[in-house]
Amino acid sequence: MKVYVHLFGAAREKAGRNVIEVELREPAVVADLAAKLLLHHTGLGGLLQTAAIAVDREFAKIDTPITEESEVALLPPVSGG
Amino acid sequence: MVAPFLVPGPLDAAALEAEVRTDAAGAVVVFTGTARNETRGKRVVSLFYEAYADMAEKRLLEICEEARRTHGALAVTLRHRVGDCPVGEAAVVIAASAAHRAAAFDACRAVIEEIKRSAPLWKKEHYEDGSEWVGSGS
Repeated sequence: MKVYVHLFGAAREKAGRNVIEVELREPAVVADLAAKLLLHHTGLGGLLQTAAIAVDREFAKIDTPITEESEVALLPPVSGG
Repeated sequence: MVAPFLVPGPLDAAALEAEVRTDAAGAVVVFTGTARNETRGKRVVSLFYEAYADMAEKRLLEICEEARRTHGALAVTLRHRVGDCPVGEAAVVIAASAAHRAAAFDACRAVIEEIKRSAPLWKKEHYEDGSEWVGSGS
């Protein structure tokens, strides 16, 4: 399945786009996505070590399921306020 | 319905204070976080805030509600700027009302700390000679 990962802040800028497309085998969890990103999106570099992943607008855990309908985002360390 | 927490322009602290004030409130605390002209020895010209808007609106509502409940405040709300924020202008305003001052101060403090910990918002600092996403080292 194709998963569209929304990018923000430094990750968005580094990738040069708002969304990246990642191919995952079903059933998938966040750990599978993280592994794919590390393998295929080396341009994101050290950001992948510090970023969090959100699924359906919640901070996800390593075993949070991802489906084709999931809203997925890569969140660099937040710096609001 | 709560107004959106994210605002793409100047924030109105007085309006926010009015929003939480009730006759039952013996205390209203308003915290304003402003864009400072210097950071880590570098001169800052302006800040830029980016949000994961849909998640941020949800998270900010949870943060206000959690602070209100935990500290026994009467009302807690906030506004956070998105887009450009010139030096000297407010990046965030938080207002909390409570029967007594301790709860209002505590709720306000809890909200700003939790924003910094878990609200999907990102700050880019613009210097005279470049820029950097805070916390991402680039």
